[in-house]
Amino acid sequence: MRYQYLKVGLIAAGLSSVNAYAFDWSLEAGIEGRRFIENGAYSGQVDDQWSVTLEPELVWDANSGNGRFTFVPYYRHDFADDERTHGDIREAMYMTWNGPWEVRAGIGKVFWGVTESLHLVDVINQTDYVEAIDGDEKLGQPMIQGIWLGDAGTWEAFVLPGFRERTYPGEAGRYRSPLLVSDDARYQADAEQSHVDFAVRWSYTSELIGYPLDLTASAFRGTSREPLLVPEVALMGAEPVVTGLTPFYPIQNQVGSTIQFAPEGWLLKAEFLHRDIQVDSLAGLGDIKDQTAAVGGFEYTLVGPFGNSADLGLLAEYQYDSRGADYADAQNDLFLGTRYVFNDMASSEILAGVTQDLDYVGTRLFLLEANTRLNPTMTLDATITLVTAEDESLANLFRRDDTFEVALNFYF
Amino acid sequence: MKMTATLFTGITGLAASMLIGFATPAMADDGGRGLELAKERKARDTGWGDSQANMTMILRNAQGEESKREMRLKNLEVLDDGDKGLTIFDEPRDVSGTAFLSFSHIAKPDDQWLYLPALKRVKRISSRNKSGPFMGSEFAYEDMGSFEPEKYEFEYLRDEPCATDLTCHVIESDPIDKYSGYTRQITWLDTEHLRPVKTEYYDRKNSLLKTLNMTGWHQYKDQYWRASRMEMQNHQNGKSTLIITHDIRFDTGLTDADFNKASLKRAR
Repeated sequence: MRYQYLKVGLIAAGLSSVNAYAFDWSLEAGIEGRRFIENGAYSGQVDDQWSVTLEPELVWDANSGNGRFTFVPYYRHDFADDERTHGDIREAMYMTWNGPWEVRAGIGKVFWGVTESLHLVDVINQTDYVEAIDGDEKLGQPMIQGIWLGDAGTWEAFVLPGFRERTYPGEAGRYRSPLLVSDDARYQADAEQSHVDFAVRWSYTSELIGYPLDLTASAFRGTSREPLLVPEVALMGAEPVVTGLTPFYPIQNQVGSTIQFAPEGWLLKAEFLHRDIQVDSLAGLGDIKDQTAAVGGFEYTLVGPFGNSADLGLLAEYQYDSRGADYADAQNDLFLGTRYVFNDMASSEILAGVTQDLDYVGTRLFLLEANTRLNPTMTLDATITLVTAEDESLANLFRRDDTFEVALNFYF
Repeated sequence: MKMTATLFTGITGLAASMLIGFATPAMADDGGRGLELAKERKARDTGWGDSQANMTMILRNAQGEESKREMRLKNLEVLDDGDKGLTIFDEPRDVSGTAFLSFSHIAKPDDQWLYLPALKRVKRISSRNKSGPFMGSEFAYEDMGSFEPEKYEFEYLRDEPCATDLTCHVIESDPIDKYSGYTRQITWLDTEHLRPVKTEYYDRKNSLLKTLNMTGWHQYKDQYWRASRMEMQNHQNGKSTLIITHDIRFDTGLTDADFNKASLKRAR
């Protein structure tokens, strides 16, 4: 499909001469089934959840070799949870480059970070929470991004002219609190969703005692991607009753940094973050805390430890958050994991890990992800999520959300 | 999905990954002949600049089942260090857009990164993984890196007939890196052009592990030889991998900016 010429006009994308672009497309479709082992803790929650997904990708590559327009819409239909049924434009981005310069404009995704168990400094895109609770899935973010590849590192500047609200499960969905999160978000910024955010990032690769050292520093000012969830109170007769949660998105100033050091078979990684929330207190929540957080640890790979071609990776990371156990679930936790890579024709791989809360020793999250290729156009993912939680810990909200999940993906 | 390592400095690396180095007291004294041939071979493959190629990689298991990967390679020669390489996968479609960036180095471990398009994430690969298989193939990452003489000790063994109608210098090259998967490699270099037509790899127990045969040689820019078929046979597990180069172009205008981990989205 690559290198076919597009015969229709693309004026909207500013592509004036059609024949100057080569067109390519692909399509990914999926079917996903989730089975929750226990009944939901809250009324209305389902035990089985089926959904289908569709993600086309359309690409116009400039024949001049220095520009491209990419369009990636996404849609999931969930047969149980209306809130999980949603569409998004993952990408609608024009990018052009010339030597060390690169400019991207449109809707896109950016990833910042080095650690595996938590993505602390990654702030450009909003989390598409209904897709996956690990925060790996993101909503498309409107942006203008400039990149300069300099001798003293890579510089990136972002202007972010539109805000995306985090997605939350509906009444039938799992991984939620007893109170539903309202669709009517409130903002600190007067311009609400139209507030323009800014970010800059510097990344640099150096050397320490002869081994690679990767450094980044970033700053962000704008609307927080992480809402404060404010209880909605209504009067039932004379009694005030909490009926739901309203997301409040404050303005924040954020600075972040990542370090990665790679001696021999080791990858030593850390991320640091400070968020200065521009709201001191909110009715219903009281004082709002600023956040200082860190995550750090290592990944070590054993090549062929079992005498076959498989590799075994060992991971350990510690998570800290200054806001404490009442406000954050990654506040004093230890993640231990292993990645088994079969190195077979089917690219099979298993990642298993447990995140142990050190404040509440009875609270831990176990996650196992396995994937393999069934044939050249079909892959299979299987996920097991097990939650154990003490009554007092935040994770207790999900105590009955142990899950088996299987997804089949088709590629065209 | 995980991939590691050096993938490419590419074809050039492959064609090159076995020769040259310093003669050291650890090796039998060949009067410096092995080193001399290696230096000559390196000299003949210097100055090619940059190249781009389309390749098919066919994996075969012991039962004869096949699995195919389509990929594109971009290579940039770096005169005072190892070369830079970028591999972009087109098929299987679930890994389409995955890119593998490597900077080979003479005096230190190679830098390697993997770009995962779904996450838009660039992951550094630790250098220790070099002895691991590349994309499930019988090629190890270290087989695919740019050929740097400083990474081996050499010994000239003998001359003998090879590849049906050629005569070859037979040279042993021992990797200096303690994390190499090999104790030694035996390379057959044809006497006329110093092309590595065949290489045997011996594992850490000094048993014959793999044999690489390179055929379909073509000359580019009136100087540089590249093999269009590279077949690696693993003698211990019965699997094999064939890499076919469909076309290779030189002087395509690649620069350092095309080999930057911050610009991997350009590659696609």
